[in-house]
Amino acid sequence: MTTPASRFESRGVFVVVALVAVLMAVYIAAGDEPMERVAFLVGGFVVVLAVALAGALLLLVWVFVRNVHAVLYHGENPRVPELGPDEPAGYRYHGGPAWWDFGEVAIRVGNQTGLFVVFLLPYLLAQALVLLCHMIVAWVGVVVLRLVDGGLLRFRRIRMLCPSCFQHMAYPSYECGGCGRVHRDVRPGRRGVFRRRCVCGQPMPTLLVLGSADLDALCPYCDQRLEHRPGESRELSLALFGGTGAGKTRLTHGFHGALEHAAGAHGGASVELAGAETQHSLSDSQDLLSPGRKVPPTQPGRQARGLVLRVTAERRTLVLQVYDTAGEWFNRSDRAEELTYLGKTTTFVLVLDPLSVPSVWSTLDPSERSRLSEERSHTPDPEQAYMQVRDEVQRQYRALGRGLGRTRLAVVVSRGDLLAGTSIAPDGAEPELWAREMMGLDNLLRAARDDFGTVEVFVTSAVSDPGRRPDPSLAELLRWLLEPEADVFTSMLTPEGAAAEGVQ
Amino acid sequence: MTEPEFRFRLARRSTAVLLYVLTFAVTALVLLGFARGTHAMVTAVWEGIVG
Repeated sequence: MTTPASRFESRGVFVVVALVAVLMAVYIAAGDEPMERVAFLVGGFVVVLAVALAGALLLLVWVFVRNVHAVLYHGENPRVPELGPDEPAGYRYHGGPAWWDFGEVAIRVGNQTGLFVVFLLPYLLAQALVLLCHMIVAWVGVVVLRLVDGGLLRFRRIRMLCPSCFQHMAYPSYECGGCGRVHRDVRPGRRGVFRRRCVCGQPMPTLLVLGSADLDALCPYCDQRLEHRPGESRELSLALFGGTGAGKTRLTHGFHGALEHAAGAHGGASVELAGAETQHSLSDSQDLLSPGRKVPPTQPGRQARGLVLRVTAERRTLVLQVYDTAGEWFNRSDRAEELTYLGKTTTFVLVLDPLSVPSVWSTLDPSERSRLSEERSHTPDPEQAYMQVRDEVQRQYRALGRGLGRTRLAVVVSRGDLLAGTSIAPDGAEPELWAREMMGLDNLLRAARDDFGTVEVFVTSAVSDPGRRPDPSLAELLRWLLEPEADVFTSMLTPEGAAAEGVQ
Repeated sequence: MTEPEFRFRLARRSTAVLLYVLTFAVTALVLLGFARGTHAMVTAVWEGIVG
């Protein structure tokens, strides 16, 4: 429906066009070369049209640049969400905001230019390509760094085991040094390539190779503090098992004492008790190893937990996790099932009290029995604990799809110091032969050789001499246990190793 | 809104500056194409009409 105003406007346009046409006709007719004048007018029309189109394009480009400036340069993008309360670190530009910015620019430009946005498609495409290049560089960096870090862990055969919940962790969680916030996965990704920044502003390295071991680590499964700098060095787990009172705890103190003694005799070596639990349990090893001192038994109700020792020698470090669990845990299969570290350990130590074996006890003469009666534990059948643990180890290994071919078992006959001087003392006899003949371990050892990859028998004395030197049998046992690790740890435990350092 | 950290701002602003440069280059090329096209059309018109 036409209104009087629109009719007036159309008439006005018509008048202007007619006037221009008349002027052009007059211009052409007035000259000597009318064709030149026609060409001049057509050419002029083309130029004016081109200038108008160029102006329109510049206007559109200005709209695009203005929006890029507002969104990217000034950060005016409501699409970038605020961090949630559980998010420990903000996203880096490649981790989402780049595309959110692109979306915001495209929507703003579309709203402001309408259908003319098609002329800006090459510019939006250019922005998408720039962002794509940015993303490719960042994510290639992420992948390369993760591969390098993972490759180094694999190459150095480092596996991280939580001594509290016995879970293998791909990577520890880390606590921010500034605010204590826990970062579940610090590895390169959306929140940072080389470093991430906690919401409190504290920068954190994203990988072990970049120094994340310096941060406070936590188990990602149970949130227990891991004070042994997991991931930095190889870890060796030793699972001790045996009947109640067999001497597992004393042997653990013996390991600590022997390692400390060897480290003291070896320049530059050290043994560090990692974590409050280990310090509490092993700080008095030297005293407890004195002859005549009794080691309090491990409480049956106490939650099983690994004791962690960091052994350093010649700039190499080994994290030794010793699992000393009360003998009662090995009596029932439902309790042994809780000891999930058995499936993650490759080195096992079966501790046997020779005095508890009835055949050994009956061989002693009455005066010896009377002298040793208080030292005797009451687990008459050493095979019971062995079978229970063997079944559980096999079950857990099967569940993980692994075989027992690479496992090692040390059968340790404890209380060598008490046997000395008795009628059944090994006195230099070959330990395995002595154990077979005197303790009747034929069946057990035959089964052990079938079940485990490598089996060795030791007779040990977890006592120190008056000079507070631990019994050499402990160093011999430790040498065997640490054999798969770097030579520096086994040579540290040899008398020659100590002598080479010039220390007696 | 929390202030984005320096590296984030740097990456964002670098992208913005790169886009300014790209936009300038693309626009300059388009305008150059316009100029050359216009020149070619004017020449063609002149030669077509005047000879």
